[in-house]
Amino acid sequence: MVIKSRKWKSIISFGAFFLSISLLLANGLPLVQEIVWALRNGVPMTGMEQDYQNTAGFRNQMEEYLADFLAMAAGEEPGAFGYGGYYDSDVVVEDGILENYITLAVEGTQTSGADVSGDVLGSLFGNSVTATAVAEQSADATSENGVYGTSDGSAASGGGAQGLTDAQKKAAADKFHESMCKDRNLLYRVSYDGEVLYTNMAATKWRIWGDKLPDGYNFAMQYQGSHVKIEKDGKEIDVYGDGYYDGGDDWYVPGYQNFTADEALNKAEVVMFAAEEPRNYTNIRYGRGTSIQSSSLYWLYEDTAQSCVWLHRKIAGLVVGAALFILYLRMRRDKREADVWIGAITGKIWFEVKLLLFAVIVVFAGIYTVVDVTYGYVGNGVWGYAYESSLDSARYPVLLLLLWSIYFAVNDIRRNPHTFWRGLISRFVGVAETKSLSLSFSKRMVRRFVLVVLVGVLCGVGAVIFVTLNYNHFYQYTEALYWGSALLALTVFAGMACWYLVKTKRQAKDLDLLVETIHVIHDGDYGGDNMGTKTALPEDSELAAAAAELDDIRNGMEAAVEERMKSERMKVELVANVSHDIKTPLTSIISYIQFLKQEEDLPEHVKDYIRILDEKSERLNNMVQDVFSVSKAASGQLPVELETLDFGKLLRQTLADMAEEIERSSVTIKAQLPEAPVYIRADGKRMYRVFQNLVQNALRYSLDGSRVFLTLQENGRTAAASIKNTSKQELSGDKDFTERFVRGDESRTDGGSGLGLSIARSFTEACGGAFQIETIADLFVVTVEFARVEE
Amino acid sequence: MNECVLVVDDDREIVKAIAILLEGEGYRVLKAYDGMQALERLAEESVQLVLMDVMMPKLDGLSAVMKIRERKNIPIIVLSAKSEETDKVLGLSMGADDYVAKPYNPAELAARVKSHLRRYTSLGDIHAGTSADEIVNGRLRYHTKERILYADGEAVRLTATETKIVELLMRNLGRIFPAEEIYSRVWEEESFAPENTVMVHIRRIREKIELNPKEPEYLKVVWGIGYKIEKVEKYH
Repeated sequence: MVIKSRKWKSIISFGAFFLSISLLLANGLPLVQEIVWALRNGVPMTGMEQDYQNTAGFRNQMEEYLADFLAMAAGEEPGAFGYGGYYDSDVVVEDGILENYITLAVEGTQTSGADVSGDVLGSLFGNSVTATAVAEQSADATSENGVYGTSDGSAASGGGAQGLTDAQKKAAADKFHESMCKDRNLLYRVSYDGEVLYTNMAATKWRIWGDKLPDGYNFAMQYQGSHVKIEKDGKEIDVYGDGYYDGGDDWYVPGYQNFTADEALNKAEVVMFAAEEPRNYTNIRYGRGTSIQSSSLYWLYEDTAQSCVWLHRKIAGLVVGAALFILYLRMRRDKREADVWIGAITGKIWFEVKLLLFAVIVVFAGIYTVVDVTYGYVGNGVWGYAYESSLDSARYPVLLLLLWSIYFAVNDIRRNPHTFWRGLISRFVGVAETKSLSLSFSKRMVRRFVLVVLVGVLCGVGAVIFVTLNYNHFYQYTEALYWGSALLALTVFAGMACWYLVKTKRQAKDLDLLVETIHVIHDGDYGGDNMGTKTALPEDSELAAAAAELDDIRNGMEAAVEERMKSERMKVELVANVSHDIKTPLTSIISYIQFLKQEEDLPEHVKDYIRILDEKSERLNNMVQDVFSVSKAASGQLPVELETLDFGKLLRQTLADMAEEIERSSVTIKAQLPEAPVYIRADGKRMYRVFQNLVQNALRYSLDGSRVFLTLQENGRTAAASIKNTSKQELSGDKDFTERFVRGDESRTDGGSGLGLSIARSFTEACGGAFQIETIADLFVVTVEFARVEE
Repeated sequence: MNECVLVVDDDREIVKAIAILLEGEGYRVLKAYDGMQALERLAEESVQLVLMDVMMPKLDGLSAVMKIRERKNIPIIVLSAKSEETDKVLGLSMGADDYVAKPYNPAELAARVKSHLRRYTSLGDIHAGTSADEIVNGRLRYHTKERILYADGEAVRLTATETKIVELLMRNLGRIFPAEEIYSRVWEEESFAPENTVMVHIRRIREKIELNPKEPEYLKVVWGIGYKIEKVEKYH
């Protein structure tokens, strides 16, 4: 058969494995047990005997019936003979079977007598008819001597009936007969001295030994003349063998050389026929001394039949199990897959559930085994399948349950190396786990807090319970115990809270450090020392990763800034080099223009050319200087010498210095400067340059005849100088005049380099001031603001 | 007066221009186009002053200055396209006496050459003439008794007010005087707005004593504070 699906293959292989092992064990073990028992005791194997009449149980039953009937024939009560009491006393009662039998008989008596309304199974213990009779009798007889019905075994002694009167004995015998006569599985006739005392068969049916047995009966037992004859299936059985009773397989009946009957029994005759296939017979009667009667022979028969069935079932189970096992062996590989699959399933179950399940099974099996060994009838297979107690029948299922539990547990552990960590506890531990850096910081914080709250609630509840319990106990030591427990719970909580506090404090500290670092970085300190700057967080801090990343950013920024500075420096260098390279030829140009200017006999137009050359070369020179200054200032490399100076004086000096220029221009400058000194910290030379540029700007671009206002105002902690002039040209408001080379007019035909405002701004900023340009219509306002200082 | 000036520059046109300029002033000019040549020329001839470019092949200007300084005490003027303050300081610390940025002003260059040569050749006179009545500050020498200011040994023609200002500042070399103080001490009266008046005089004095009035070496404006005459050590 080709099974295509791997899934089905593995399912079938595992099913085969499971069933085969189960079947082999469930069937094989009882069989082995029975075989061992049978061998040890030298009895036939349970279920091997198909004829119930060949079983030891049947033999014992018939022996017992004979004893009872003989007693009745002799005028004693049934059971009086017991086990040799009426027989010769030289019979040594030491045989195991015999003792066993006695015990059983007594127990049967107890069961019936003590629990008359109990279940019918009680009758399974064998001679219940006898037991019932005895029980009833004991009920009757109790008033006189109370010997019967007790469990001390006096009934077995055979002498217990000594106190009974003849009438009582007769009544007991009558009652016994009454209970027995309806059971058609056993026909009997009890006679004494030729007179039939009790019988349940037609007198004509069977007169003498050797007659044909009635239909349906194939076993006959006759006691006559102190000897017993037995016939089965028309053949007589040799009862006495060598003539000596020596236990073992010998019939326990009188007639041996060493086991004789009382002389009084010589006149007694008992005939019993046993049915070939007994039918169920049960008779229950309510009333004083309620009796439950059922046919012992039927149960023996049934038991034998059941034993056969049992044996067949076991063997069939074994065969099927073996077949399945062979199938499994052929599909071993697929079964491995099934193991993996099962492992995957069991792996998903919480470890605690598995553990609990396993523990329950193990505990159950343990308790069962203890009970089984202590109270169970180990090896009672002699009584056959039907005699197995409920404990016995569960023995192998329990064993299998345990076995498979172990199998699945081992499989689970093998397939899931982390099985212990997939459970409720581990989950809780996981929740409580606050160190794992894979969790977000907030999650860790929250979990930690939840943990504290949880422990707090638990401890609180615990403490309340302990304290409450305390009121139900009056002993000093329990009081101390409960108070102690409550205190312990609170201590645990307090400890937890402290732990939380310490953790949180540490985190807060780390957080502080981190924030401080961020602050420092924000302020532009990137560590300075070319990489490797580290935030001083401890290695095991939960924020260590964040700090490391921050350090990375910091170092990255440092590198970037470094890079930018470098490129800025290179730019300045480039400008410096370019300006140097321009200056060298410019030097020649200017020099030779000077010589040309000194030439005298030149035509006017040439002189004009020379003048233009002179002007433009000069302007070029200025531009080169300005470009150099601006690039230097923009890259932050402009050296400044800050000193405390009077802002007003600076402005006055500037105006004074430029007085001639101002005089020459078409505009007037209105200065509104405070007399009192206004101190600021700045580089005087640079600021002179700033205002020189600004004033020049104003002179150059102002409307002819307009006024330029130069004011200095103290605004609280700052001092602001502003120059306002009305522009010649229309100003467009969105122009940034401090951009390099930006000018009011786009044509660039005037004398400026276009760098004046740019220089002014960068110089001001280099000195720590604020430079601002405003345009209101054609009003051009430049404000230079510095922080005021004390002198 | 046939002082010999050695002009060193790798730019031949500049050398030529300077040569024309100085020869026009009556000096004998030697030419060199790199540092090595300059040293050779110095070994060959008697040179009274060196004009030295900084960036040159073979041996750069500053190294050449150092070499020259090992043996000679002649004035050296460094001529460089590098106009930064640091370059200037570096040049002077290497042993140069003066520093002129390119592109130079021909008149200023000539004046500086003349100034250095005068003081170099008449060094002995200057030191011999130093007395208790004289305040010597670099190129400047103020005779307190005569109330005459000498620049490079030549008397500077100053007006009375200018002389008063010069005397105040020369007597307090390096000290910064606010315009108000100068005004009150020179004009001996209070002034409402002295800045302009003082500044005008300062500018005029500068033009008389400074080689380059636009970049004064002695009479300086301390912006936002006042005025002073810088104390110059170099020429002593």
